[in-house]
Amino acid sequence: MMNAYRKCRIAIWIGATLASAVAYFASDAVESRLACNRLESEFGPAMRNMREEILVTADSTLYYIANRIAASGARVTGTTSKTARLIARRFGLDEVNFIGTNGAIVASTHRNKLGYDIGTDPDPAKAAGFLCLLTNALWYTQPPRVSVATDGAYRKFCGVRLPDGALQLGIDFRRLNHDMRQHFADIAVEWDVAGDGWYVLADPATGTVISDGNPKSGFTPGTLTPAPSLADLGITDEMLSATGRTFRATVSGVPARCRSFLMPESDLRVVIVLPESIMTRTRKASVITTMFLLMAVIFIAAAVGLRLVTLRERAEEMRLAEEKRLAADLALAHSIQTTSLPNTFPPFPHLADRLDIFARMTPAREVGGDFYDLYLIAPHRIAFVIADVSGKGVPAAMFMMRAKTALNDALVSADEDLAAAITSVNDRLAEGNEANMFVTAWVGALDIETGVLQYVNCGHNPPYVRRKSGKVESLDAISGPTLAAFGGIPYSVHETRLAPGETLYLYTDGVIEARSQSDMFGEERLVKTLAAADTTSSEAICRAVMRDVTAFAADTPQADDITMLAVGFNGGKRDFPATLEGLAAATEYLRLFCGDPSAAIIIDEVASNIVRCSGSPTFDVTYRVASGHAEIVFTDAGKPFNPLEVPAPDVNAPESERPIGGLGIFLVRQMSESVTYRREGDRNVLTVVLSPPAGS
Amino acid sequence: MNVQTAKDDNQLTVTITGAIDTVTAPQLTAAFDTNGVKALVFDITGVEYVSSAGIRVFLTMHKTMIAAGGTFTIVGAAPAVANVIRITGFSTIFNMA
Repeated sequence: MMNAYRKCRIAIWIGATLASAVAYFASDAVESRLACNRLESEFGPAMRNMREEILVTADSTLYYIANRIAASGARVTGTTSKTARLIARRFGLDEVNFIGTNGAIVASTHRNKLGYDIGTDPDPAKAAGFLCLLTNALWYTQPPRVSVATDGAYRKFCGVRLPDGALQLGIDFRRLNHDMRQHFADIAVEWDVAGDGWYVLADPATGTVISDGNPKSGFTPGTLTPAPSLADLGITDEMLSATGRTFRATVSGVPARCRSFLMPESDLRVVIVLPESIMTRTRKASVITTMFLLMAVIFIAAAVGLRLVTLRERAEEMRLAEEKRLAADLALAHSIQTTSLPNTFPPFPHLADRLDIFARMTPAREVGGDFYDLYLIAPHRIAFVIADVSGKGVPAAMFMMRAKTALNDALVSADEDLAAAITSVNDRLAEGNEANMFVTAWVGALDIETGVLQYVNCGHNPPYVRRKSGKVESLDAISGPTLAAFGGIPYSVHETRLAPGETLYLYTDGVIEARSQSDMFGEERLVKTLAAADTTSSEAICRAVMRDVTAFAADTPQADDITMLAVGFNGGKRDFPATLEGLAAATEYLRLFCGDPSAAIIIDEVASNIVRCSGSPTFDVTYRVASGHAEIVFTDAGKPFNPLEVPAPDVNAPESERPIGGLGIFLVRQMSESVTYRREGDRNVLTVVLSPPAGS
Repeated sequence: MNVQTAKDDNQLTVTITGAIDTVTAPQLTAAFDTNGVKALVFDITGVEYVSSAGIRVFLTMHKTMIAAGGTFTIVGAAPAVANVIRITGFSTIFNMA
């Protein structure tokens, strides 16, 4: 089975992994957005730069031409409009004006410009610009403008100083593009955008590429015939229509973000190409940084989580170990407690033919407060106790051991005065009983010669006696309060007698308070079980009660210790001197158990034989009930003598021939069920099984 | 055992209660004298049981009385006592009334 901590750990790992994945995708998305914005931000400056560059290029181209014309010795004086037209053709210019020192145009490609005073130009800047050529400036270029003469096309003017005036050149940008491409072809090649990006310059009318800054294209204008178009590079008209907005295209096989604009002054289409790899590159670095930070946070969190789990687990392990140790302690305590109770039956093997004792304790927990004990306090006297300490578990068990020891100490020396012994036990237990524990106890002392039972009941459940008649009788006399509750209280002793074959059944309240779902076992059920037991065996009686209680409680857990002790008195035995007095005493003794005249005759016949003939100083007599019949056993230490070998007298012989002896054993045989003799060691043992009483 | 004797002319009635056994038999024989008695009567109505020792007393009395030309009669034997006398084969010898 997988434990909770392992599950927790796995959950943390899965959580951390998922969080990492989410962090990756989130940071990727954010970074993509940021990279895109960074890319976008490149377009503005790039656009401005290129525009500047184009204008500068146009300026320098015009200035170069103007300078060549001036250097070739051109003069205002003597130059005609025809010469101006020749120059224009020669250099591919759209307008050529020669300006006199007074500021008036003296020669021009355009007839309508002749005599035009440049100082009257409506644009004061232009007017000032070109006028200054006549005073101090060497050259001047004018920003492109729509001229009156150009049908709305952008025309750019440039002027240089001549020794006797100034030369003004004008050129339409369209011509600049077509005829002077060479000047522009290098622009895109020389400039890049944000490192890996490039420009593409194209003719907006035809889409023909003038300059391609793609470092890999190696494009040189004029070397390809025909020159590639924007469409050839992968830029469609549809994309170009998105002027001023970013579009995506695969330019020369490179996926890129592009933006294009038309430069009306120059009549050029400019496309700015930024490969997406730039974005990926910048994004990658960012993503890795962000990822690293997020991962660090996630893994620190995971590590903290795992540490917490480990700590909890360790605490749990310690708790379990503690529980295990406690369980081991309790198991040991259980063993100590159960082995401290007499649990070998019969407890007094030499008395087993007359005493049938069995006991059983079933604690509700590992250890309990119930106990029983057995003592041989004199050769002819045993004592026993059943007790129930208040509470359950360890405290009850500890007090139980104390009570058990105190009872043991008092009872083994009690001999005659049982009440005094219990009074002293109570005083001893009450002393220093800070925990206010108490113990109910029922203490009995049984004379195993006579069956006389003395008892002291200290607040315990009255036990039952299964009488010979089959009646179950409660011994409900009380002697005093529970032990240990109050010191200095005298306990009284009560007395009853057990006849051979009668059984005393003692129990604790765990028996009658055993619960089913809705009811308690109760005394009535107990009495019924005791009465129904078709045996006098103590063990069988205890087992019958246990079985009925268990069946009654079914699945309801046991709430209290269940303890029982059964003492069966099966008969008595006593020694007598082998004298007539001893014989009389033996006869008297047997009357305790049996009023049947046959028994009296049997004891008279057998015992008188022993007294007369055996030579043994003593003999003993046992009266015993066993397996449904009663028997009397005589033993003596005399010389081996089997009375059964004496020939039976002839009871039909004439009176005068009757022998006076031999009649006794004959009578015994006649009046009993069976007579058997055996020699046991140095003793004669004669067993007489009595006939069942008449009528049974 | 308790023994009471009553003499009427030459008839002696011995009333016994209790048991006649090994212990009490000698007391019983010592409790009366058969001299001059022609009719000896044992009233054993109150006798609980008789062992072989008691039977021997009866037999001794029976023989003594027959030898003296008298009679010996047992009166009031309880069934248990009569049974012992029967078992020992004396029911046909003793005069039971």
